[in-house]
Amino acid sequence: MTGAGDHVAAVALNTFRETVRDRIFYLVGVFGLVLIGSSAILSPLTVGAQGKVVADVGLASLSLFGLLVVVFVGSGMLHKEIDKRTITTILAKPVSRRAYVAGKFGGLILTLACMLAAMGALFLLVTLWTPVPLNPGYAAAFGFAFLELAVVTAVAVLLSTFVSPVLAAVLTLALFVVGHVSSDLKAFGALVGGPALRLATSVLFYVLPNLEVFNVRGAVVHGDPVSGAHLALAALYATCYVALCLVLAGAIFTRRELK
Amino acid sequence: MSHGRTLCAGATPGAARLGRPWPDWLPTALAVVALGGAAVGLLGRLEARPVGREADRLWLPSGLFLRESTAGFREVAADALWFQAVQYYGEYRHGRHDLAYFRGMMRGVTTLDPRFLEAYRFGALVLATDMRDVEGGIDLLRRGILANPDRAILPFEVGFLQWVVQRDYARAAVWFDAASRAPDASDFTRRFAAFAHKRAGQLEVSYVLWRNLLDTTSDPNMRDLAERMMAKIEPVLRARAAADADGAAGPGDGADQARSGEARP
Repeated sequence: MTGAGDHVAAVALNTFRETVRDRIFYLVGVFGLVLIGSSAILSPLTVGAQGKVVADVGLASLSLFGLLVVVFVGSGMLHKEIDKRTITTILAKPVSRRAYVAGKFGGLILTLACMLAAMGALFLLVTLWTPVPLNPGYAAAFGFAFLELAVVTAVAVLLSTFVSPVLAAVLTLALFVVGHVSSDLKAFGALVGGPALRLATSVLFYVLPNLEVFNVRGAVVHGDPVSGAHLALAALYATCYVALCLVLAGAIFTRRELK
Repeated sequence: MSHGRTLCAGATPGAARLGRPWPDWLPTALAVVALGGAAVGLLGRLEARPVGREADRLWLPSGLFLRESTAGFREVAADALWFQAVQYYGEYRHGRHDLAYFRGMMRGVTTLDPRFLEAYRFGALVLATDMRDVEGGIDLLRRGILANPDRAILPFEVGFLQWVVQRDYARAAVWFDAASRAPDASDFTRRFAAFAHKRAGQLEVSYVLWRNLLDTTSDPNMRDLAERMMAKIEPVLRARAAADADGAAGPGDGADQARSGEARP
């Protein structure tokens, strides 16, 4: 007899295989081209800041390509299975819907982890012939990028349980943008708004994912230290937010009628 | 069955089936060449008429707005604006404009990435020299110092501008001193701070700075220079101390000697 963990792992592995078949990893090649292009073509324009520009572009591309995968794969993942009716064959077995949603999330996370590892290795390779002053903070930056993408993936999976793939993609992108300015929104509400606006911006601040806590790219590129305590707190926050999204997604998907 | 036409060389079975005298790929190739050529030609003409480029720079949003609208990719946005600023400066060097929007562009770059040291340095230098706005350049550097209080290069640049452009040696010396106290101050920064103080007549401070350099540097050339400079300052300080003890010498003797260049590196 197999447990829920085995079901989650089986769905996750299958989802991972599916994304590999969809040639998602071609994006790693595009990432490499962007990196090499930014280091070779843009060099004459960087005026003494080549290392900074290559590092900025590399770390930003890493997050951006990860986000593209989450938006275009994550937001349509459940819908695709429902549309093709392949989900019925899985759910006909003793696999709970919660385990299925968690497995889908796990598979995408596994894909992202492999992609980030490959892109991180490419980035380190490019730094060999560019003046990027490497420091241990870059490893932390890769870790923070993964945590950020895990939170966005959980949001995408949650949205995909009750809205159409296009709407889920648009909302995920919008939440990514708002997630980076939620602190400023709260500050804005406190500064210029009345009690209602102040309350609304505070609620938004606590409900929406605060993705800016995972943004250490600037600090790392400029050689500023990133504390282990910050990394630990951010990892804890990401875990809580991901778990919350998956619990909600499981609850919604369990009540959903599959035609 | 004959179509009454001769198929040209290279004609594909599809062309033969349809009875055309040209290969199937030819219309596509011609269309690609014609449309591609037209697009390239039009782009060239559009580039020659840069409608709204100056206006784009005039209406460059404030750095704070840019910060909010870049969704966590601020540093890359700063790099993109930095490229534009460098190109804009290049156009100025070719006599195409008067750098009117340079200040706004640098403000945008440094607001998006407050730790972009190269932008502060380049921006301040262009403001102070090409635009003859030394105070503007120093203001930019001061903003940089607020955002990067532990970096020696920015106060050093303020001192540099006051030394070479404003020729205010006393104020320059204060900034070099501040730079030499930064955690990442180099031997050169400390050496320059000492030299600036000597030029300003503050020999005691200069001596301490040279001593500090001697104690902290591992570079033999620097040590040699520090020892030589201290050896030159010591007699002046000793003479001043002796004069003070006798009560015969007037104030400023040592400083006058220093200004006359007796103790230069």
